[in-house]
Amino acid sequence: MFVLWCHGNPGGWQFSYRYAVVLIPWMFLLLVENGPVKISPIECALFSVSVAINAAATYEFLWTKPHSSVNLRPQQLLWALILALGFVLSVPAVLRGGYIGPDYYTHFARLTEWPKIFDFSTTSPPMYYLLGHWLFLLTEAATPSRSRFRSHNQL
Amino acid sequence: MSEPEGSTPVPRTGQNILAALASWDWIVGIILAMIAAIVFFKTTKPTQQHFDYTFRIAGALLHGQVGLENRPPSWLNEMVPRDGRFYSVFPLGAVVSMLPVALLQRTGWVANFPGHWVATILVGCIVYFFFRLTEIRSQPVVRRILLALFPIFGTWAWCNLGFGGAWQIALGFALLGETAALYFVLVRPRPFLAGIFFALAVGNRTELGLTLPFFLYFVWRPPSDVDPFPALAHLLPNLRKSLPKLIWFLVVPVALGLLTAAYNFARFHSIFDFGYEHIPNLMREPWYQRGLFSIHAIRGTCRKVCSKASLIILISLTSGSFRLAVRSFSPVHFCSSFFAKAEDSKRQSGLSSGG
Repeated sequence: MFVLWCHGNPGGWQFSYRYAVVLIPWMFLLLVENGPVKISPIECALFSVSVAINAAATYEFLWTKPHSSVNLRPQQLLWALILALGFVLSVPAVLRGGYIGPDYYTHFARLTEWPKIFDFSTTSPPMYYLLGHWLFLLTEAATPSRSRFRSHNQL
Repeated sequence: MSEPEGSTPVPRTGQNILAALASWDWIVGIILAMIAAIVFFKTTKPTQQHFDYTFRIAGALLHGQVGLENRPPSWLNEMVPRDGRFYSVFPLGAVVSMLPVALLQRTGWVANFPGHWVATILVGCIVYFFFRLTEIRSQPVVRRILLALFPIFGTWAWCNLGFGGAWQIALGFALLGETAALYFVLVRPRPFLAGIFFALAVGNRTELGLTLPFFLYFVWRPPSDVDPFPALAHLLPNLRKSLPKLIWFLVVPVALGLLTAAYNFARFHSIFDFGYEHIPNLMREPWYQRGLFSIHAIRGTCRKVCSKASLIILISLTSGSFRLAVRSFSPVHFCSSFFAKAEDSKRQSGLSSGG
């Protein structure tokens, strides 16, 4: 058990702690040898609860959408609305002859990096960047976590 | 040298009753295993069946190769590219376990990895051996049936084996190997068969090598022995007497160990290198900062469990969705979420969800 816990990755996509499956036979021996000879009501009730919990987990993990317990639909909706709004705004901008100039990255950094917002050397007032920065933070918060977890490292 | 059978406890009622009981147990065990397999098959959906590392390498092994010559599909990102080939980091035992399925593919019986079927057969075998293992103690058949079903349907094994991916299948083989090995040392002592199943377990989950001392003890001193710890003076004669049994038990595990060493050497030029650290970008992962195994990982594991539970509560409180809140705070869901240490890889890969 200690060796399993020391493994850096506790098991990837799983229900409970799947590595501990290999401990089940030993737990089984303890149950068989130490339980009452006849099945007791408590034992029967615990067995039913165990099956119910694992049936629920099996249903949740295998028969529902990915990890519905952390469903972020409201946030995803907000993110989609902001993207749609950005697209709507970009259409007239393109029709007016808008383009991404070489100073794009300079302005973008002033929107995303806090120390650069109050840079008074720019032609636009700080309030302009402050509003943009607030929108940036909002969209970032609304974005589903960009997890670094991947499908591997599960061995 | 013929395989010693050890000393099986014989009931006082005689050999005939024992034989009748054994055949009856065999039938009940088979029926129970079949029912369990059907229930498992019908209640699970193999959402990770396409992670078929061991199946592909087993297919290559049939062609005399230990690695793939062609680049594997993108989702098999645990394959290690080296010297123009792609190697799996699964140990040899896990690959050998898949050889029968690879043979079926070669003969045209199956097209792709039948992870669901393999998991189902494993569940049937596991339930059978758990049922037979309950013979270790005299008890009513109802309790024995419940005990036999409990390891699969009363634990996380049900859900995890249901994924049907190579990682879960390897765990299933390990579970089967352990259970059958225990049966063949504790209930019906057959050291050679026990050794085969122990090799199956260790071959799929290398860390199970740590259980070898327990198995050696059981082979040396079966539970029927009235004196589990003989006096020091009798220790050496006793060990000498048990030596054939110990040798029979160790034949297959030692052979597999040597073959695994050769397999490792053929892939990574070191007999001790299983290749896990060679997975591209693996060691850059934050949880491996202190190596594959570290005492600091225990803290990280606990933190993940706690953050998981708090994340669910936070979302329930902030999302404004009554349904989600009810779901998250229902006892069953809360329990399953609290103990779940699932990561968001499914969301990221978009593959394991099956859609």
